[in-house]
Amino acid sequence: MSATSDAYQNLQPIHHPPTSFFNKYLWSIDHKVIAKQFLWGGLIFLLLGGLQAMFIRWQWAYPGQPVPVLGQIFFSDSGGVITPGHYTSLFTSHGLIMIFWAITPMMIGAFGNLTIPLMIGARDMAFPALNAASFWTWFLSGLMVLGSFMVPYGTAAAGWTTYPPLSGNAGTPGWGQSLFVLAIFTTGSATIMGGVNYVTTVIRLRAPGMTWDRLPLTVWGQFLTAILNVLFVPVLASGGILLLLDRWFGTSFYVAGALAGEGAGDPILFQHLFWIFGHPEVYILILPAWGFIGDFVSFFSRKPAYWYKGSVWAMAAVSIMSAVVYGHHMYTTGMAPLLGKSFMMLTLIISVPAELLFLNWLHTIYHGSMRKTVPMLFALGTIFVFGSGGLTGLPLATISTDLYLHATMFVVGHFHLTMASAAFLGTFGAIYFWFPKMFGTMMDQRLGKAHFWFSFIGLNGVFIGQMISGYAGQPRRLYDPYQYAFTEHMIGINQLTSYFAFFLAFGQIFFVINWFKSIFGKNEKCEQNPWQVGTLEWSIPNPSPVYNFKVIPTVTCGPHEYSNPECIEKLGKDWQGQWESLDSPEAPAPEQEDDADEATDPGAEAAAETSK
Amino acid sequence: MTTSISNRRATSLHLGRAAHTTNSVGMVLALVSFTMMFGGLFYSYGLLRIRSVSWPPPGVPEMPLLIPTGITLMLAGSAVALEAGRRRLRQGDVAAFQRFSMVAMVLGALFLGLQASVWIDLWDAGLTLAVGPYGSMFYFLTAFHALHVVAGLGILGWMYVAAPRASSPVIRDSRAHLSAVFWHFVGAVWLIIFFLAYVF
Repeated sequence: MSATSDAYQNLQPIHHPPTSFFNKYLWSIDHKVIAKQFLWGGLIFLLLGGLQAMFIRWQWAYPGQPVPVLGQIFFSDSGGVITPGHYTSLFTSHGLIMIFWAITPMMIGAFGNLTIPLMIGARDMAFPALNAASFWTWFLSGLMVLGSFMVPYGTAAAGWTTYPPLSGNAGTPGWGQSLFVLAIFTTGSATIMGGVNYVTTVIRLRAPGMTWDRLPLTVWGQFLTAILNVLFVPVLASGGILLLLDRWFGTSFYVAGALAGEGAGDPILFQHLFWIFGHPEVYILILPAWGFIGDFVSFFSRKPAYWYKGSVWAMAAVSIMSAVVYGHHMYTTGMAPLLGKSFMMLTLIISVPAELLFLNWLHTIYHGSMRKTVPMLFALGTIFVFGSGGLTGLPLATISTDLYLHATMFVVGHFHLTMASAAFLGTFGAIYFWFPKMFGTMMDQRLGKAHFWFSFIGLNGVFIGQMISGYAGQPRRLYDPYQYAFTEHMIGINQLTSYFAFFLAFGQIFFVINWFKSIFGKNEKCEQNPWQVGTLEWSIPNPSPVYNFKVIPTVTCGPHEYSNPECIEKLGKDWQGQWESLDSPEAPAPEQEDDADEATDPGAEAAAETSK
Repeated sequence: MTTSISNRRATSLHLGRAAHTTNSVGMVLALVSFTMMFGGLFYSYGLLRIRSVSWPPPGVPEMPLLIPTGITLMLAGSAVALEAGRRRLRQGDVAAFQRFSMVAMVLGALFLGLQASVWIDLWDAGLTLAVGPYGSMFYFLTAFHALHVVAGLGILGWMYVAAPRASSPVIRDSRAHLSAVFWHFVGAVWLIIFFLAYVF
């Protein structure tokens, strides 16, 4: 073995499998276990947030009527009826829970953790203990959220954007709102810890030969997301601190008008801080999905990803531009016209790299021999909903139309298609794809397809319905949307939209059955590389040993080597693993057996010392 | 596989350096994150200031300059002392490093004490939170920075204890380097806050 190769092997110590319960499940520093922890936690919160969405849809379909069955459990104090107080808490915490406690932990916490080290050929994250700390910090924030439902006056109720003065003491008194803001600050710290870890890992721990232009697009998506997290979550933290000080210590950063003492602050300041974070955040929630799609369309069309570098540059361009468009959320705050127009132009320009990604995906699919597996269906679904969400963003980016559409259901439909539907479908595609990697068995494909079609039709029905009613002028966030003469006829379209929502919720039962059946049921262990793809995680057993790669592989090619005639001729299959070489096909793949005790690399002790 | 002892030592040195690079990347990213958080606060300062009718508002006590300038110099002095200590540490003189970092920590603690005395004086003179964003911003920026000084002191204190116990000089120097980077970051942020809170 050459000196450089030796150095690579020794740089990362081989972890021995933990033996105590504490180290195995509670304080595990294994990125794969932390990924599962995040996934379980995220799924539980997704269920909670989804339930809240159904209550909101019930209220809009049947305003003021008691919720059947569940109402007696959740709204027992009002006989099952959703009161205005319940309702404001519902839509506020629905948004925040979905973003920070469902999508973020699943898409970034679970799949960032799972895929980054496995796909770049590393034995763990750069800072494994920080990784565990990140999960438990997030867990603590989750407890704060649940706690906020139990305090007097209830949980947060100022809208997910938490704008003052509504989120100040006068608008939402009590501990619920404060706890929720504190929870966002806490989960933000967890996100930053994760982001620092992910970026460092990708920069420092790539296997030999894993150059930047050989990284799977999934890793690119997670890498760019992590950079955005490191940069912009702290800005939300600064806004949150100022809000908490206003609530707790009587400062007046956001307090103006009659509430202010001698000097007035400025509630608009919060909107600036919120959206400086908030706009990158919407890309934070979609970039990982873009990465999944970029890989899945190539994997399942059996073709190289079309213009890989173009996709990478497009994702990077979107990440950079996401920092300079936030003003389009604030057109109606009395922004200077020149500033507003600048934000409008920048926002419209951001659709150019997004368009390029689309063309690359379509080019990849075009003339491919498509395998319509469940992850591929989810990837195609994501492309569709993100496309429709993106196109309906244009009238919101344009000031003249936005002034009409601002704060209508159109906005709600638009951002749910992009942030919610695309993130949802992308994440579930990733679950179906990497399930064998995590648990060693395949999920049921028929149940998966049923789950996809129910979800896809449901999501589109709900959010297209919302856009239609919003285009007709229905304001968002109203307890009883039919209280005005110009909206009272809209109950029909809202009921139809709600039926789609219930259809969507029903479809999730297929997933729940599939999930528990595949983890806890008696299932055959699936083969090592069930999808026949070439990224590094499939070169090792499922589920993988604690240290992932006994011998860190040397990467020879990009992640999307499919249907290469030379490869078919030499290797006799239509895909080339990143660890395989066409020049010497007889050379055996590095041994990756599950025998940690025999691992006695030179310098492993020294490496263990450095990691202390 | 067998390796000679000298080989093993060379590997250990290499690994230590590689670990140092990895940890430095992590530290830079963490500081970028802190910078963005302080950046958000400076942005808030700027926005509130340009939106206010008069800054400072009429009737508030004038900001002192003597003590703030003094504590700024103290923080600078502590940075110099820490660097002098690290220079001796690289030569292997752990005791000298500990002496110098003790000087740095004492100066840091003095900074906190004198900062607190400024708060008390100003509060008694009538600069309370009721004054509005001017008072809120002053107390918040300085207090939030003080929290980071406390964190920095914690790290320096840990380094003081850990330096003689490190398993290898490479690791020890790496840790000293990263602690110093954090301390200098806190000092650099103070320079901005000093001008925003006291001078302009």
